[in-house]
Amino acid sequence: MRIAPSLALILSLAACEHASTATSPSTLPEQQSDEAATTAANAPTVPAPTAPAPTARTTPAPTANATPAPTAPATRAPAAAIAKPTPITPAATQSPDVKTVKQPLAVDECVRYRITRAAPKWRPECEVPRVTKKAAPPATTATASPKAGTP
Amino acid sequence: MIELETDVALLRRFVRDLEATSPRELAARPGLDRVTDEDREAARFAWATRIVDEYRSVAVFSELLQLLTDLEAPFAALCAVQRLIGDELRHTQLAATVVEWLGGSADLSIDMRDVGLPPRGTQPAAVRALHIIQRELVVAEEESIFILDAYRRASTDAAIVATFDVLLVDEVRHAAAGRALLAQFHTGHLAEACGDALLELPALAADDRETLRAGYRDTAIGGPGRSLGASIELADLVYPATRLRRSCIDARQA
Repeated sequence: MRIAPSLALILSLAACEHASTATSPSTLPEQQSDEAATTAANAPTVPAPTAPAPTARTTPAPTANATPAPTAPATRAPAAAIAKPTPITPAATQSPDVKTVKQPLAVDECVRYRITRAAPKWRPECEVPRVTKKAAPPATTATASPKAGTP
Repeated sequence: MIELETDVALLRRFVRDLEATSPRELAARPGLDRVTDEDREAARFAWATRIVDEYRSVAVFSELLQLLTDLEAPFAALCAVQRLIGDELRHTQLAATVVEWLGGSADLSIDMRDVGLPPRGTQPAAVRALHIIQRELVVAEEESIFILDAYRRASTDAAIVATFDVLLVDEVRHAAAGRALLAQFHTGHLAEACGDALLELPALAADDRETLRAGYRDTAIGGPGRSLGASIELADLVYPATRLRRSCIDARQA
């Protein structure tokens, strides 16, 4: 069984470890002390994780023809020229009822391809997807490229 | 896509210096023997997306450093922000490393150009800096703690969990730094330069926090790659009955 420490433990470890790596003992411990106090006072605390409920896991068992991650038409174009590229994102972009759909997903919501580090919206329009799958190079390209790259 | 390798020995030393600032060592590679291709691919895309997200922070905090130097911000504030930039660069490297673990990025196009904030136009430097600190550090970094913790608890692979540990330790520190930096704008010439913009921060913070949480909720819908940090269920996303204090400016307005 995996035992995951709580975020509170991480916070305390963060303070300890940063202090332990200090290169200037005369100053950094004091800074760390301030920082730890600030962190402890302000940062959220997360209760110790419990074992996930069995019902929380809804991913279907993989099948022999499991659907790969959606692929996008993939020629690299200047960012300004990308009108509506198909985002290549993992599960977070897929609503449960389209998990097995093989064609690229049409995602038109900004948040859908920012699954871990969403950014505040500084402008109303959506960001273009930044990660796409390249198209497989034509066979002729594969033979020509080594020649071009050889000194 | 960023090029991580260099054949310039001197530059490699700087990379090693940066790596030495990591709060802890990374674990070995993930064990992929029992991982389905679907899970691995989903995770590869997720971590490729994280490369961009971390790199964006490099760009945003770099602009903040420039603004703060223009404003003659206190030396300690400049030190803090230059460290944040380094941390986010290290996170970029970290996410790229995980992508390599999971199969590499050769078939991916990862567009990292012009990933920073929109142009500031006529906005004064002090207000722009204030908004970056409030929105990107105090709010976004704090909210990222919850979502990263959710992904960390959902992950079962030791290497991925260890990677999230590094990110979490740093992001907690960043959020704390954001509050300390924000406090610098409540006194002296920085407060004068910001003027009424200080009064708008509570509403801005509330709106950003609501938007971010809604976004995170919308993407917490499960799917492949859970063990490798690529998906969470809504139940994983926990906002504890909070000790999350309102920001410094919120408190001052109360």
